[in-house]
Parts: sequence; structure tokens; C-alpha cells
Amino acid sequence: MQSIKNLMLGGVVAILSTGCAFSPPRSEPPPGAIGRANPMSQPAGQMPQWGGPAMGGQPMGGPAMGGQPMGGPGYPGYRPQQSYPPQAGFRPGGAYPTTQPMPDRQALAHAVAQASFSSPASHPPECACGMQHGAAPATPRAQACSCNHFGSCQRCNPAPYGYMMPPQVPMNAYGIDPQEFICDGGDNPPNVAVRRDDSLTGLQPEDTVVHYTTAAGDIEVEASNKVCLYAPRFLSVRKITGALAGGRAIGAAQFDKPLGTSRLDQPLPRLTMTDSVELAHADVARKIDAMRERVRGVPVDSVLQLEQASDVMAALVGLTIDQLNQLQDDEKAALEQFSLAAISWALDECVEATIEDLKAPSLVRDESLQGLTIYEFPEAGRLRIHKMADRTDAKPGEIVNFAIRVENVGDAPVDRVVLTDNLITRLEYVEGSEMCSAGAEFLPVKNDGQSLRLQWKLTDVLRVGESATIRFKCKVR
Amino acid sequence: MAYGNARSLGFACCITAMLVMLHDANAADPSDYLGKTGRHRLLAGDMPPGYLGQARLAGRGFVNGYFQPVALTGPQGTRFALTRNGGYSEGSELLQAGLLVGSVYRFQVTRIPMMEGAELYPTLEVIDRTYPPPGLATRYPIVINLDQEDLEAALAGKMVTRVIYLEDPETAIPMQQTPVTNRPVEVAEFQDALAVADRLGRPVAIVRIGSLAPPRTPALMPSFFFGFPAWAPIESVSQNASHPSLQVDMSVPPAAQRQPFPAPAENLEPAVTVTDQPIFK
Repeated sequence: MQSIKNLMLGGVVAILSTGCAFSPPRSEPPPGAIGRANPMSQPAGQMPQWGGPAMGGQPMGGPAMGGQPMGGPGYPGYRPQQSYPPQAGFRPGGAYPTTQPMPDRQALAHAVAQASFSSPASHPPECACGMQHGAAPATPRAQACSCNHFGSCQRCNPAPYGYMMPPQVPMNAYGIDPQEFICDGGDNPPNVAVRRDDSLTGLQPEDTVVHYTTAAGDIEVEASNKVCLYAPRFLSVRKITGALAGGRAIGAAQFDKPLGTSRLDQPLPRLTMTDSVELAHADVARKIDAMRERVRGVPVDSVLQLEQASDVMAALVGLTIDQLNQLQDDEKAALEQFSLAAISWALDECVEATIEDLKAPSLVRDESLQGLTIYEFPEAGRLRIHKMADRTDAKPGEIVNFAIRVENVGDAPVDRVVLTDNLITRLEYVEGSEMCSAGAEFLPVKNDGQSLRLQWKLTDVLRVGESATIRFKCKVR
Repeated sequence: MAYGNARSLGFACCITAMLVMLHDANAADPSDYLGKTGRHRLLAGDMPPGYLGQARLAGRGFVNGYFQPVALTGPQGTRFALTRNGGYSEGSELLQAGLLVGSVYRFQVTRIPMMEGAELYPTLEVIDRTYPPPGLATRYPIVINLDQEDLEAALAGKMVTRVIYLEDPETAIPMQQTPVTNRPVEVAEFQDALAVADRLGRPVAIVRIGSLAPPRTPALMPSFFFGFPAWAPIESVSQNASHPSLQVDMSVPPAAQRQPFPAPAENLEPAVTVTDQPIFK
């Protein structure tokens, strides 16, 4: 009996220590295993990840070079949209099918909405981290923000880098990198506005807007949708090391980031702060211009102006606090003289005027309706602008056909319709390829992104229900 | 007496020379080459192959098990080949293959223009992946273009490090990308190529071209070839109706079948077939 008990006890201990009684039998390969059953493009059992490779241009914090681990669940500020747990790695074999077919559109959509990329720009930490995907929301500006794997909301803008909507391509289940896409359309902040001289301000690369004048004389600006193409481009940085050094290096000397305060040609403040990125840089020494010290004991303010700014540290070393706080004996005579001067120069008299024998004037206000004129305007005309591309991806050198359609969906005709498309650097307009279904004056102008700003000024009034379609070709650089 | 004087003179000269050398033998302070931040970066481009790949696998974002399509091209006539069983096939002018992220691949470069008979064995380390829409993975591989200058410098005994990065479209160079205009950004010897590439975009691959040749001893082959990581040939679209990225050749041969280098060609199956999708227009 005792031996049976010992045997049972030993068996229980063995089971507990090895755990073999609690692990389910595994007939299928573990999640993520590479094999013929699991297609390569869809490694099985993987969950969509958050905070994928962040943007480049960020010093070493973007791409995962620092070996930072994925955050676990429950970090503050995160409000998951779905039941996906915010953690990386494999799920337990029993909780998730190991052989996963191609996810359907819905799952892909949610997967992408959560696995988006965050920009390195700093934004206020308090913001609602809700994810949305799909059709254009009511307020595009109040769209979702992206949560990185640290849990805090990094950005409360529509999408990373201002992309208003996901590209018009099927999504990668592991998220997308906006740097692999080139987009055209929409209206990046600051918004486009029309000046008195009919010139545009706030026009950024990628912006496609139409501005028109309604019957009431108002000038309205409408932005188109954003059209994105998958067109990644790869460059390289080369370093040759050896015992023999030499040769001339030819490379880019300076790279400019998007326009910032360094190029002020319009009075609107820029929201995107940039700097010019250079491979060589210099430090600027800060100097003290003036010091104001309040002297204790004797209420005298003294402003010390440093006359020699070349050696600031030496001047500061020479000053002592005692000298500033106390009134020296040899200064009392000067103080006496200055205070006397202040008294004698004080003006305590002022000119007074009196009015005698005059009745105070009385004001009578008589408000009465003299006449009334009523101006009746019909509902203002409104334009809808839509941009389309004939493909969703392009290799360098391929041609993309763009079409922009403006339609009057309002209740009144609109006049002076001007459509402007600011192309980005990677899109090169093919000369002579533009076509407009309505009469228009075409004007291409060089822009700051080494590409062109295309402008069409419709010559005719656009009546209710009428539309104009503009087509043009661009070559992907 | 004269001999004693000469000997003491010799001693004095030696001591003087030593003092002069010690006075001038100051090693450069590493902080002289610190950047603006005054810090050393954790990972640098000068690290041995494999280090950065493993750091990426342990880092943020799950990329394990993904075969990243890569396209290698070079000067006209140059052939590239990836290893199979320790040997190489004839190769092709445009080598397209799916490579594991984090692994290091040793490929062969032959038929270098004006240097017939010379062979190079650079390493290619894939340190990140792209995120193409479904179905476009093999159409948009990571394009690595080696030029004649790289190969000549390597054959001259120098070490060439190329960090390939995904360009930021907002700071794109406004030039049409062709093999001729696709010039690399040159950095000096004391600069970190990875840091510069990180500023300009997102580094995705590193190619290191040196003058190492495969060892003759079979026992040293695994370390030379970094453990023979698996790679997936990208077949031409016309041959295979299904998605090319699904074609994975997982037939890793057992160790007994590995041939010592160089392996006879008849024992090798074709490693790579050229696709008909041009990279540059």
C-alpha cells in the first residue's frame, strides 16, 4: 500500500515537473513554420504587428536597430479596436489556426488599421487612439491616429505622414510603409487659400485643389482625394576602406526636407517644421546680450550691458554677486545727484482746460428703419473634385495616367474655376500629354520639388450638372 | 674605446628615437569622431556580417521567416550566383531571389568586365523587409546595383560596404533612376555608412565586398557561407502560373551530399532562373 502510494506520488511529481500532461498534442507544425503547407507570403499563425518599421530620416530610432523589444499588453493610452492583443510573436497553437488562408478584406482592413506606421514628429500625448479604415469619413481631419508599440499615441493626424486614406491597393497583412508609396492629391496642411491677387498660398507638394467663385462672390477651395501608387525606390550609401585612400567622391551635398520656415514666401505660418539636413554641420556659440539684476536692500534696478561679447565667460567670471547687491559708498554721491535730477525733471503739472458758459452738448440718437433691401441668392454652386490613376503600382520609368474630374453638384453655376495639381518630385509630367474636356487654359510652372505645378483655368462657366475631365500622364522617376 | 663610444652613441640614438616615437604615437581619441549628439551608436555599419541582421530579428516588428525578394545586378556581362550545397552554378546577369531577413548570403561574382577570370565572393545581409501589397512582392524586389568601381576596388584589395536603403519620397532625388544615374552616396572612411543611410531613408540591406575566397577545407565551409541559409529562387512568370513568391525551394540537402568547392557543375541543379521583368526601363 505504501509502495503504491509512493509510486503515485512519484508519478504526480514527474508529471508536474515535465508538464507533459498539460501540453496538447501537436500534430500540425508550430505557427510560423516554413513549409509547403504555409504559403510564403502568408506565414501562418502570425498576428498583424503594431509599430512596424517607422519612418526613415529619424536618427536610429526608426528602423529597429536598437534592438527594442515589442511592448506587452496593457500599456497606457492604447485602446484596441479589435480583440487583437497588442503583442508580438506567436500565439499559442490552440488559440489560432496554424494554417491561415489569405485573410479576407475585412480582416485585412482591420489588420492594416492597427499595423500602421507612426511618424517621428512629436505631438501632444493626449489624443483619442481610435482606428478607422474604409470610406472617407465625415471629417477627414479627425480620422484615426496611429499607436506605436510603446502604447502612447504618437500622432492624431489622419494617417502617417498626412495620408488621408489608405492606398487604393489591397493591403499587406503586416501593415504598409508609407515611404514605399508615392501619392498625389488631397490637401496637406497648411490648407490652400486664395489671395486677393488670385494666387495660391499653402500649396504643398501632392496638393490637388480646385478653387472657384460662386454666384454670391465667395471663393471656395475644394481638395481632391489622394491617389497613391506603390513605387519604392532604393539607393545606396557606399564606403570604400583600404590602405590606399583616394579618388573623388561624387554624391549629394545636401538634402532638403519638405519646405519649412527657411523658405518664407507667403505670410501663412508653416505647420511642418523642417531643417536642412547636411552631412557637415557647425555649432553656434550663444552669447549673453544683457543682464538685468535686481539689487537687494536698496531698490535700484541696474541693467548691465556687456559691451564686449567676444569672451563671455571671462566677463562673467569677473562679476561677483556682492557687487550687484550692495550700494557702494562711492556710488552714494552719484545716486544723490540722479535722484535730485529725477525730482526736478518730474512733471507733476498738466494742462487743464475749462469750459465756461456753455451748455453741455446733448446727443440724440434716432434709429429708424429708412429702407430694407433683400438679396436673394440661390444655394451656392459647389464643385466636387475626384482624382483617379490608371494603376496602383509603378516601377521607375513607367507612365501613369491621371484623370481629374470636377463636377458642379451645387444649385448654381460657378465661375472662374481653376484646378491646380502640385506634382511631387518623383512624378514627372510628360509634356504635351494633358487633355481637358472643357475649354481651359493650361499653365505648367516649376515648383520647389523639382517637378511641375499644373494649372488649368476653365474659360467657361460651369453650370449645374456640368463636369470637366482633365487627363495627363506622368512618368515615375 | 672607440667601440665603447660607438655603442653608447647607438644607445643614445635608440633612446632618442623611442622618445620621439612615443611622443608622436598618440592614438586618436574615439571621441574626436563623435557626431553632434556626442554618443556612439549601438549598431554601426562596420560590424561583422550577421550582427545587424540578428539585431533586426530581435528588434521591433516581426520579420522572421519572410523571404524578401532581392534583385542583384551589375556591370554588363557580370554574372551573379547564389550558393547551393557549397557550390555555384553559372549564374545570371540579373539574380533575383527571396532571401531571409536577418541572414547573410555569400554570392559569387564572375565575368567582371576587363577582369576575366577574377571572382569575388561578397556577402549580402538583408536587414529589413518591404511591405508590398499582396501579389507585388516579386515585382518590386530590393534592387541592388553594383558598379564597376565597387568590383575594381574589391579586386584591388579594398573593402567596399554598400548600405542599400529605401528612399524617402519626400526627399527624393529628382532624377530618373537608371543604372547610370543610380550613383551611390559616398562617405569617408571615418563616417558610418549605416548612420548616413538611416538619415536618408530606411536601410534594408548591406553588401560587403572584400577579397575573401572560399576555403578549401570542408570544415570551414559553414562559417564561410554563414550556415547556408535558405533562399527561394524567383522563377520567371511565364513558367509558373501561380504566385512566384509561393515557390519555395526548401530542399536543403543533408550534409553528406555537400560537395567541396569547386563543385562539378553537373551535380548542381539550376539555382536561379531569370525572370522577364525588367528593373530599369
